[in-house]
Amino acid sequence: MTEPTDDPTEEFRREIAASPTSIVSTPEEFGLRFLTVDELIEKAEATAPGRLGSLRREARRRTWLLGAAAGLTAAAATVVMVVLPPTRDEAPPPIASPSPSVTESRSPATFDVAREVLLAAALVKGPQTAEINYWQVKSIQVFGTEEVPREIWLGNGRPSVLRQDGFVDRLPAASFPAGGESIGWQALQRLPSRPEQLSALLSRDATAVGRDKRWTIFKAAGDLIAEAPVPPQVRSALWRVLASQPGAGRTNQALDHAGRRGWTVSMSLPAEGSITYLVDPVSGQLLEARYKPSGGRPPWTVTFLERGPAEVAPPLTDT
Amino acid sequence: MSKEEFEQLVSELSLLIFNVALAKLPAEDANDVVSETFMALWQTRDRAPVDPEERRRWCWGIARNKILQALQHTRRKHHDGRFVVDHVSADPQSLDDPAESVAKADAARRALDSLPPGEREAVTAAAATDLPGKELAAMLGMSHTAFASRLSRGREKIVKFLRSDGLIWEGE
Repeated sequence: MTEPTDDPTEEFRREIAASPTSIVSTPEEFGLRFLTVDELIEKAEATAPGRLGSLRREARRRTWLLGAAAGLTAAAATVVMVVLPPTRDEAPPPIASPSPSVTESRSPATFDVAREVLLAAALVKGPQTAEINYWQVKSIQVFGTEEVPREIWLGNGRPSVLRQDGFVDRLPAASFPAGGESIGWQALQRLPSRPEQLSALLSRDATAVGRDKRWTIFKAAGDLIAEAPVPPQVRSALWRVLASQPGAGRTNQALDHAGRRGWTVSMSLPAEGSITYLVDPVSGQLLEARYKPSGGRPPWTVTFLERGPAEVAPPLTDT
Repeated sequence: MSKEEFEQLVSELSLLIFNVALAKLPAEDANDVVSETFMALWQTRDRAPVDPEERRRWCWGIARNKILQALQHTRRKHHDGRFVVDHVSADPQSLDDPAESVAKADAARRALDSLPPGEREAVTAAAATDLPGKELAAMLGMSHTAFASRLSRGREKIVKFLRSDGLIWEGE
């Protein structure tokens, strides 16, 4: 093959200059702008090499705020957290010495029907959460072969803290989506303890966001059990909500990513994908959640190692 | 690398990095990739090649890594329903006729998206910079022949796409 005698680049540029539309996008089209050279240098010199990810965390915070303002938290149906970059003028939370319960399985019983597993879990009384400082959840997320440890301290009227990807970030006080609304810690305590009422509340926005009602309930209830500091009566109601779902049919024993034995409860819908919860009915703990999204997206799993009240949270990463 | 040389790279490559990143990431993340690329470049300026062409290629290498990192991060979050609102991006804004501009911009982006990755990279590089084709080829790590070939194929497809979408270019 010979070298071209004419550079087609200039010809192409002349063509697109005459076009009624541009194939090149600018940040201004999205309400953004490039940093100036001086801003880049200033930020580069204020940021330690290898810590540039903080920029994306700032962007994430902006985007989350935007989403929340647009009422899109309804689609999340789970714990909503907004990452705030650590600030030097705020005192970090005190050193951690959390004491959550280990979510180990102790069940020798056998079950044939998932509903029985869920109703057994509903009988286990969880801790009171109205007056605690933090609700700590330690988990491992598995994306393909990649393991991503995650630890969160949800703050009761105080900043929350997230440890993930090598950073410890400050988050605002926890808030939780419930049927399309974002509710605070105290409102979480007042969620209905009757399954039918709770189920109706959790699925309130399903139609509006175009989701299957059964899926919305199954996922929302699982998410709240997984990470939210719900009081004992609500936790019990959430298990019973799951037990009332059509997916709560057959169950099998299975090991989670940490090697613990639990019982599977699944829901699978063509348009949504499938979710499998691995439940320990004796300790009343959700051990693991396995997600297989539809549309060819790869599956992922989150294994819950510890969850429970904590007095304090760890210090923030210095960025 | 002096500040002037850094400034030149920022001027030459910002739009290209943004557009290549935009093919895979939300606009905010693409914009952050641009910032992070040049911040990393400035932090490692002592190790930057002296030759301008090599320096440009070096910068492009950093940008590609930043795009990959951001993509990995986004994919991870995308699987996680707890961060579903992470992926809500601002709507494109326009000062003139928003509906018309957005429709045209969408068509243009769809035209770019319809290209195979190699052709898309060549077309984006040609459209988003003022650099000669030979220098772009060197930066992208391909021969000038390969670059010209990809650009030509991409150009033909884009014209066809825009014609089918009713956005016929003048002179075509």
